[in-house]
Amino acid sequence: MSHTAHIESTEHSNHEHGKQSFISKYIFSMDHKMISRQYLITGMIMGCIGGFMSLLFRLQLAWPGHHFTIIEMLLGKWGKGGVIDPNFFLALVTIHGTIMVFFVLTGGLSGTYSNLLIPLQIGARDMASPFMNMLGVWFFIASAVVLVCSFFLETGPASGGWTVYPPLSALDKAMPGSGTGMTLWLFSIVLFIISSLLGGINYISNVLNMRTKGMSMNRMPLTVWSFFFAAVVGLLSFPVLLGAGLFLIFDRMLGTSFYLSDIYLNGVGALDNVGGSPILYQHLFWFLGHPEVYIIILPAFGIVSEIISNNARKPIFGYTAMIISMFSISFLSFLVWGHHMFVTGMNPFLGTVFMAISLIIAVPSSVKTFNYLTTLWKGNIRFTPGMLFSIGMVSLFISGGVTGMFLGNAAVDITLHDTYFVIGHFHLVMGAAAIFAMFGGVYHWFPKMFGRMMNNTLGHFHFWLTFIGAYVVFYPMHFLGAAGVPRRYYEFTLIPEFGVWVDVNIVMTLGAILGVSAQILFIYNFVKSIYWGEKATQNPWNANGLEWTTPVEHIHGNWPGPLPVVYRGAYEYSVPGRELDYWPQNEPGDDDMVEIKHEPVSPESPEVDTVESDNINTDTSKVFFSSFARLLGLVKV
Amino acid sequence: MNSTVRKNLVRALTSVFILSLIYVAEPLFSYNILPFNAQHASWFGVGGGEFTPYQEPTPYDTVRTQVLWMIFIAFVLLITVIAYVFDIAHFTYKITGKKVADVNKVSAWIGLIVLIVGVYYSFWELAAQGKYAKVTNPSAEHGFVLDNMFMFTFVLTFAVFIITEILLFVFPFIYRTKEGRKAYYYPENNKLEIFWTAVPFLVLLFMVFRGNAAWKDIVYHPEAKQAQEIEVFSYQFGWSARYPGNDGKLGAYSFNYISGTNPLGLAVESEVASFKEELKKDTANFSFKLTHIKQYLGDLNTQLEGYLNVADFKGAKDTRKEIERVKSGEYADEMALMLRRRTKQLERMALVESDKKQFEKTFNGDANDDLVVKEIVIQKGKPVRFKFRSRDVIHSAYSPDFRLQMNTVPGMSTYFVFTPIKSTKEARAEKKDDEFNYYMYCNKVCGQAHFNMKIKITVVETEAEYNDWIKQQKPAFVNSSIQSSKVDSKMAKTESIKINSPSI
Repeated sequence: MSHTAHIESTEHSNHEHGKQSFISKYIFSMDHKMISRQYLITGMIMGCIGGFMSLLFRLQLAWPGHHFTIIEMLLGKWGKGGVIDPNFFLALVTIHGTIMVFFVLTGGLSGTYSNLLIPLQIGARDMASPFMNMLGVWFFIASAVVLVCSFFLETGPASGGWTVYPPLSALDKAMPGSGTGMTLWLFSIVLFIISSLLGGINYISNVLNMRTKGMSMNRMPLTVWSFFFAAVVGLLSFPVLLGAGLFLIFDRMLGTSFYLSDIYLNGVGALDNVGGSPILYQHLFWFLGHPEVYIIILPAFGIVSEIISNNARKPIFGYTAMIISMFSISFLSFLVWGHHMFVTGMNPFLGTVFMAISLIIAVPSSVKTFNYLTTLWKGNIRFTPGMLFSIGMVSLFISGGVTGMFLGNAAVDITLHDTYFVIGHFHLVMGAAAIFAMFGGVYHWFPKMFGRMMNNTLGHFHFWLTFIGAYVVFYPMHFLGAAGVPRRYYEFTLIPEFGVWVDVNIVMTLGAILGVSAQILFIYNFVKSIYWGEKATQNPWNANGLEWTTPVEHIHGNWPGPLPVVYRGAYEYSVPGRELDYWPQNEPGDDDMVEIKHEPVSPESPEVDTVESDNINTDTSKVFFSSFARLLGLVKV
Repeated sequence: MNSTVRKNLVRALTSVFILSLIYVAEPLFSYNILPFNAQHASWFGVGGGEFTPYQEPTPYDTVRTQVLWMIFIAFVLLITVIAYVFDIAHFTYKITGKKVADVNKVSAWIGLIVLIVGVYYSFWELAAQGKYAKVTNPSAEHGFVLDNMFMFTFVLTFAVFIITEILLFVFPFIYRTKEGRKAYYYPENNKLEIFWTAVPFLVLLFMVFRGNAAWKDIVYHPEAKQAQEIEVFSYQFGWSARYPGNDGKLGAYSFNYISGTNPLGLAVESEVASFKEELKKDTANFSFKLTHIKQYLGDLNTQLEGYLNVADFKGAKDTRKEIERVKSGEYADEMALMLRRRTKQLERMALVESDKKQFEKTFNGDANDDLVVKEIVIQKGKPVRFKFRSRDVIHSAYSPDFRLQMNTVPGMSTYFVFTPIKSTKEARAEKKDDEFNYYMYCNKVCGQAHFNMKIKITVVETEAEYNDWIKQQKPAFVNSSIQSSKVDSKMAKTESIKINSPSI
């Protein structure tokens, strides 16, 4: 595109920015920075709801049968006499899982940071298709609203566990939660999948198509790489869940028999469904369900890589190895779903295959861990809250990761399957770890998102309390699991041999209350800093990324002048022979000046605008489709 | 907003927060807080599905729990106060330019302390709680294979866990930021990368081969062929088991034959014939209801008037609800659905009858003397093959003592073969607990009483004991119905009233 067109488009966008109404600026905004804030705040609200639910059921687990006035006050008929109803206990567990997995860790984490960082770090004016992006966030909010609404139904929300295995979820007479609550759950998830596909397509086309001059794939920050891989994995696996969900909707509403066969239900009699298989659903579900945990943890890795490298003032160790390991994790993630199904009566041979791949996927994960350790080694480490949360994330990932070695092993999984061991494992490795990365990201990019700094000291307190809380809650769960305590039990006291765990449960509940109440500090800090925080400087962390070259006050189109040009990778910290310990990607070095002869002037001086970027394309649909055409090899680049 | 206003606002908000905490916490002290323990657990019976959501609290260790609560609330208050104080510290820093505390240094030290405490704590937990883990001393033969695999994985991963966690917290402590120091520029080292890709790969490959050997040992059980077959049947919310009768064979079954008197759906000719009559009556009943909706509506209206005349508003409310259901067509839909279900069921039954070969195979009389029991008794040292079936939703048979778990899936059979090596008596002696029993639990969420769905497994020492027990059992159709749980039967009752009563 020509030089003039570029100037025009910039002016145009600035002009537009000036006359934006409240609605188009804050509500139906098409600006990626606003959309990322919308994702973050929706995710945080959902996180509060989900976290609070966990407190309610932890109260029941620690003090079974005890009156809690607060429970009766909050839950009404589900908490008669201050004791949670067993059906509602299952509903809480189910919705807690759904909210945390989909709405906080997928939408909240990936949605927030992909939207914020992809355009800023690759030097693009906005997403490939801003309109689709806006649709994505509103589908996300709509799905969250639908899910929360299901709490106000007479029969209660879905309550068959977040995996909603049929036949329990397919038969509305099987339990109260399988009535309208289940319908709303499915509806909500369908909306969520649409949102996540709209987002994913956007991220992929943005990364492939709209990188600024000099930003080759091997200079991209690891954050962008991780969002890219997560988007690809999501794009390939979410449609399968959509299919599984639609079949389940058909079974529930149209009388089909995809997942149902030979069922006699209490009080109803024999059903007329013959020939389906409940196991089919599990295969379809886990084909998404397992990649889903990598959709969650890959962006977390990306964020942590960026923050650790920045705060250790060292280049991330093994940039290429990091990308290769993320690629192999993404690829292998599609081949391991069967380790959730070792005891479903699946062919034992499949058990062997899935066990082999599930254990091998630990190799790229351990490479990543070792690389983080080496990055910390001989660094010059700054303890910002973001850095603390990143170290915490690696710690939780290690603790949760090693227990995966037990669960991935088919033989050992026979006794550990569906016990508290599993809960401890995944809460550490993908739950708490990803949440920690999310917190780290908030502390690190808060100056970029809101133009102000968060309170440092409160951040430190928040970290240590959350970190201790997380271990106090989830570490003992491994011991419960190894002793054979099943998950999703309303209380353990009816089974004699589990009586010994009452005290441990009380400790875990206190840990949970501690961990959740520590978030009050975070919310206080977050809200206060948005309005009254210290004003952020241009580059508060002395970071290399392009995101720190944009003005502190958000503008439409990100850079007021031309787009920056990139001369090197994102992790050139403490380069020998340089006075500063960081080297922004857009700062030309001596060699670079020779390389790009026809662009002799620094791009930061706007008067001489010789640097041209080819990614300003106002016709978004063209950008969007051309990226796919390039992917498919239809158009030669 | 100036800083005085802001400070006052912060103060006011904090007070409101503290007050609301006190408000919420206050009722906690007015009740006896009761954690149940193992002794109380034995009050409840062994039968499946028995469930009492709330027990009258008895004063048990109230003081301890209250102290815990007080400590916790004090802790939450402490957090709030600390947050408040440090906020002021931040203001002081802003105004005077003097730092009250260097958080960077503090956090580095906290990290080290947390690491030391954490490592100590994880070893302490291993000692304190690890003893309950079911990873040694199994009660089934294949348990040794599984436990060895567990211990091997444990030793390996615990070492990796401790070492990496130590490095993770020691590095940041040693290399914490200092004025004038520059980090070591070390972007890559391919040899190192290859080294720590290859080593985990080889270790994991070794684990895959070991794990595969263990898995094969367990699932391809060599004794499967001589094993005694017992059918274990799961339903919401309980288990029952079926033993072959005198003929030594388990008879055929179908979910079509399941009825109140034939809970496992056994192919017993007389039973099935009478059930068929019942189904036919049902069909007639539903089609009658479908064709007499108007009449039903009229009856309901009369009933409503009757209720209103005697001022029974609750009855009137229910009747109004029912009228609404009829008017909206929901009632007709339900009747049509039930009619279709019964008709299809009869069709499926007729299909078997029309094929002579299949009919003879199904109703060969093997099922007539099968024993349906509420407790599983097996013999020490003799291989058993559990054949799992489910009536309604997916359950999972889970018995950690026998290292046994297998899902029970409606529409298909699953199996698990194992050999018990420790009798109940031996286990009791070992645990010094006279009331100890083996149980099989449900480990796949299946509804409200999921947490109390269990069946007792007794391992007897000698064949004579086993034979004695089996002699006491009576064939299914003498000692018929499953003793449904309270919840269960109540649900069934209300449903059957709704569906089966021909008139109102």
